Amino acid sequence: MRPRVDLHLVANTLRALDDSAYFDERVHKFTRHFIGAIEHVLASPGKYDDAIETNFAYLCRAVQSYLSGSTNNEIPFEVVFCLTDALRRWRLSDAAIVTSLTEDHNFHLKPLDPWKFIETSIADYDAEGFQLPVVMIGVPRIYAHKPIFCVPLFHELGHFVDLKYRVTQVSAILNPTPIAPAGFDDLTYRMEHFADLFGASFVGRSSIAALEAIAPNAPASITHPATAERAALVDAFLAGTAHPTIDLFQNALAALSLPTLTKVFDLVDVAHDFNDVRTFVPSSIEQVYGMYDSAWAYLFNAIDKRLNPWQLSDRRDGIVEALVNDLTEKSIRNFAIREAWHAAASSP
Amino acid sequence: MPLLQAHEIRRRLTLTSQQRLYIDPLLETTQVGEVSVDLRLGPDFLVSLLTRKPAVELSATRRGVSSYFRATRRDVGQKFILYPGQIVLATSLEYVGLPADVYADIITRSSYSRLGVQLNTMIQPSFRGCIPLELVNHSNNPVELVVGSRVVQARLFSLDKKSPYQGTAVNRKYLGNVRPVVSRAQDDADLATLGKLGG
Repeated sequence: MRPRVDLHLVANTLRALDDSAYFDERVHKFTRHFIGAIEHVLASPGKYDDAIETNFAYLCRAVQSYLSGSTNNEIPFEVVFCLTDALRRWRLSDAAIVTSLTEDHNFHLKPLDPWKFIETSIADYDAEGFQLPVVMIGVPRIYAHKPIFCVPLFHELGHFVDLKYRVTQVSAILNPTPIAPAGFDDLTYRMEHFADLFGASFVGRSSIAALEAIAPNAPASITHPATAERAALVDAFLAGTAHPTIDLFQNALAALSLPTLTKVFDLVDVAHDFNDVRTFVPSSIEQVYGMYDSAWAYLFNAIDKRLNPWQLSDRRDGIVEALVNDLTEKSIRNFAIREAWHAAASSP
Repeated sequence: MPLLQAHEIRRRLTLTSQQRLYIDPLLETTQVGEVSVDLRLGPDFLVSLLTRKPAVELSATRRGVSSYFRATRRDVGQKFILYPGQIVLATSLEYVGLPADVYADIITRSSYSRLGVQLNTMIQPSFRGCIPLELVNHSNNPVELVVGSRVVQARLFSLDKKSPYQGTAVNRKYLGNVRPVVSRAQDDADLATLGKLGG
């Protein structure tokens, strides 16, 4: 439709969304300020270039879908809890994660910064000092309550961190020798490798195992390295083996005075507890990260070997999947509850 | 069927054997009372809706039971309003594992019974999952519940013989549930037989 008509429609939807509940209060403020920016544009016909209004309308439609998927009823709370901690470790606590639940099977990061657009293109809108970078990630709806299957989100978060700090661009300046084959896009190769390593630093091999499940034997393309090549790099990283591609990212991170890529997760084994249909109790957030890898291995080992330690009389893969994902989700949720409880109980 | 007392409940909470009583998270040790364990209200709800259908039917041509409920979530510490006459399916905040020689009666704590919130359900030995809470407000006034508050208590009874939950011939319907699920009464096998009798 026409941009200004769409802006009206989006503003109405956002007002309705603002009546919903978000776990993150900052998202409410973002919604209200975003409505304010839309109303500001609508109140001044002809003030802004058509191109700005068109781009703003596109941006608003995108933002709407991510805010819709971030209400209490929709957001994959447990995974977002972990991603939020990951952002903090990369000095990006000021950013809020918003999720769009998609009907396809792909995870994605929307490389947009809505607030930056408002600041630069609608500069006379007075946001009264409000600022909020948002991480706009897409989650397939069928996986919203399947934390094990959400491990690709750590890869997507790696893209956000990369875009925020321009890690791969800096790496290309410091180490210009291409890592992609001739004729292929070297920068996107670096971006994919960096995001793979970022994901693996939090959730171990499950991050690349997810890729192997989604795109097994995928050959190299113009923009993406082959799955086997990506897996080999992650395996080298996890094994602590020296690798020139890892080194060039570490050099860039050091030059940017950022944390280096290191294993954040602690190895755990959920089998003893999950075999008895009990939650796993992580003693630290590092163990929460470690759960993803352990639960991934546990689930697919049970499916591949048709295991039934739970003595289910009706052992179907779908029942096994639901049981293991639910135990993982509840284990993370309980960790978050304990953290929040102890923080509240010890505060004055 | 002796009622477990505080010292036995605490002892079983520390075990790692099959006699273990498992409660995660047990946010406060004071949840263990003299003859019961207080359990907290979980964050997920299925709220009953009024529909055009005259009744919830369990026949083969029924409208699905889940269509009579709407899911909603709260954070711990947030409020949930329970309206008079409304049934709301929730769960305990805690994930519970009962030993094979213990079953539990779940009842509303006195403080909430006095507000009109009633609940009385039995949990099988060897149960695993969040305790299902079928909340009904019998008073004239809406009641504000806080997610994470101690709404119900479990009275635990030991049995002479172990009673496995998972390994029985008939698969248990609600094993390992971490959020409320609607009734699966329509899956009861004897309904088919009864259907032939009823014509």
